Amino acid sequence: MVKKYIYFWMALTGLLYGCDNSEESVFEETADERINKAMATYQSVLEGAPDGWNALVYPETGGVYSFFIRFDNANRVVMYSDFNDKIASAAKESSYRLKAMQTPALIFDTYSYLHILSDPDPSVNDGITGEGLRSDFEFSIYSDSVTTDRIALVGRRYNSRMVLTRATAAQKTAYESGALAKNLNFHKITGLHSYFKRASINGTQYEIVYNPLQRTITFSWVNGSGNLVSFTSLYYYTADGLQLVSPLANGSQTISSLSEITWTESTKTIGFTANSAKSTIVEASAPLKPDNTAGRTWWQMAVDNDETYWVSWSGFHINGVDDALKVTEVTAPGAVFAYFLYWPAIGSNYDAFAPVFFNREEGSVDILYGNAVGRPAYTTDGRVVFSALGTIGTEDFPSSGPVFESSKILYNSRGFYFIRTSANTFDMVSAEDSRIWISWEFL
Amino acid sequence: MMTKSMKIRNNMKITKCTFLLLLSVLALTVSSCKEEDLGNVEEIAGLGGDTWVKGPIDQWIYDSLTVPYNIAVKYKWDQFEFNNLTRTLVPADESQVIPLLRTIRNIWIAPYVDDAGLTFFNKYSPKTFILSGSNEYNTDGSVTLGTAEGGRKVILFAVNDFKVKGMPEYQSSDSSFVKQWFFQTIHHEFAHILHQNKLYPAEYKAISSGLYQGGNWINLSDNDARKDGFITAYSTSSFSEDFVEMIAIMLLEGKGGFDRIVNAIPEGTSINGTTKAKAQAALRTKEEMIVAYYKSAWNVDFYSLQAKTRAALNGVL
Repeated sequence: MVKKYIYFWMALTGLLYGCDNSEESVFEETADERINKAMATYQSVLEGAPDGWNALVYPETGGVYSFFIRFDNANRVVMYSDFNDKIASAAKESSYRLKAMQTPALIFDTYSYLHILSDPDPSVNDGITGEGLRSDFEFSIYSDSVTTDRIALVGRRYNSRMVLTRATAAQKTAYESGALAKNLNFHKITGLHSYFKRASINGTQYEIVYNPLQRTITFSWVNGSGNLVSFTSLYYYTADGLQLVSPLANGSQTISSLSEITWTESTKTIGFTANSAKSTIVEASAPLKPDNTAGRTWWQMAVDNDETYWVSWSGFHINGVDDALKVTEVTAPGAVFAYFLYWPAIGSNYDAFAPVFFNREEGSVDILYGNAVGRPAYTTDGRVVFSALGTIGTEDFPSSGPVFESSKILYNSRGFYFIRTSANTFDMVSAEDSRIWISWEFL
Repeated sequence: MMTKSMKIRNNMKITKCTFLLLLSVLALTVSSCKEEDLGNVEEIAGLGGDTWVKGPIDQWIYDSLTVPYNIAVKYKWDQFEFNNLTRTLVPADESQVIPLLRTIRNIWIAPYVDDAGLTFFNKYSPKTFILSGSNEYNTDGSVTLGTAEGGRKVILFAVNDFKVKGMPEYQSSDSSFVKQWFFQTIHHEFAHILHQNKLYPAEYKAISSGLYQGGNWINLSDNDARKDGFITAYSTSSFSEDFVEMIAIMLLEGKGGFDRIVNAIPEGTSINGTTKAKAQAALRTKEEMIVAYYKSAWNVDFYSLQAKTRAALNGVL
């Protein structure tokens, strides 16, 4: 009997619990109400900055890019971008929308300057074919990263970051009057022909290396002990100037930006202000302090790595022109130019400086002719001097043309300065004329 | 049954009480199990699709394509419209949208509407166009021209590279890219829709039988294919691709252009042993069969359609 009742009550409670639909929500509003409320809040924050937003975008492949963005209440957005000097002067209008996805998302839904970074076409951004700079244009919005002064967003595809900070009326005015384009005049440093560029800031001479592909700038100076010190930072441009992501600290001096950038076409001079001091970029014929070890390191590195060699894809750069001697257009019967090489210690008492040809038919690379170069001489002031021993190869060495001209440059009696530009790359700059150099890569 | 009622009777009091309880519980249960109403569905974010403040482009699409031809164009980014979600694409540039669509209207819609009628066109035309600003790069290094799904949806890539006469930076060297990427894609896909509704004659398959290459088409050049009596390399991949490639190329090149292609087939035999005369005859037979198909299946004068399509193309490239 009792047992039967137990069954009965069990069934009954089962029935009760199973049908208990009166879930108590821990929220006061439904999920939809909360999403709509959040979206409305984000919308009002975006359009609620009357002077727009300063934006920094960090693509996954590196670097940082700066934008100035204004959102309106009709899905329209107006942008300025520091991507390059060609677009910096003009604003571009496009569209955006907020969308309720797994997390609310901000989508820049027609092409804008922001999409230049994302574009999978490498001719647009020098990025990876099919991936671009791995930079997003659909961003998740997390409520704890949204304030009226700052919004931090995370990209939905590549997790690239975008940080918006509220702009001031003065910044808006500056952007709209072309300040960004003026500051991008600093980019003209790439058109100066000398390899070495310097600026004197508050009494200190700085050598400046500007790398727009990596978006980095390097300052080198001689410290109190007479040693060369280098500092590299990512940079980006705003209406205020060229900003260093990490400030340069040299003793009591800290430089975080170069502002009031000017360009004088007649004299090809870039001017700027750093720490209230005016300065200009000047071309130099020699490094601030030559690296006495770089040339030896370059030579020895190839010997130490299984007796291999250094490669240059396009020969000498002269007066602002890559491959000025057109070595890449040199051909041989059935073969085309592949690269120039410098092969230390290819022979017991000589090195080789020679073009390498690719034979399509046989799929082989061959040295058909080249220079036998004597062991380099290292001068006390940091130059490396090459001298001719003869020629090598199965074919006659040409008596004119790109390869002949290249060897003439190599054998210049003033020699070359060596600058190590990365773990596996060196630049070799003519000591006779700093507008002539060749870049070596270790494969 | 007997025993059960006996027992109940024996415990009348309790039973009564239980039944009452049971009834009230049932009532409760029934009421609490009632379907909850859905609440305010209009509050569900994004229900009914994405919305935005309409602008001049939306208005142009509505007036020029949606109202007359029932065609929608999604030019704003929506990742989920693209088949391969792993590919990196970018949205179309707004300045490209109307020039592209206007040209498509002139080179595809207008000639068909003229020669086959609005009812025909609106019945068979794809109803949605999706635009991608960039190409879709495949892992093998190739790029996707354009895709169509079941005759309803067409995706066009590289919209930001579209350039025709009158647009900034247009050069005549852009023509072959634009012709192939956009107009050949559309005419190709539309021809598929037509034969999927009314099949082409079985004899078509016999013209070049034994010479189809299947997946190997990718290793051929158009010139190789022509020596075997095919209009393009891709047309060697199957009977249907052959049929629609013929239509697309004939329409876009015009009668004169098609004749030039046929006449340019060089002397000698192909690696498959096809002679010049045989290759030319094959292309001519295919042409005749397509002209006859357009007449019998759709009551359309193909040569008239061809002349109009080519004339429209000449206006922009």
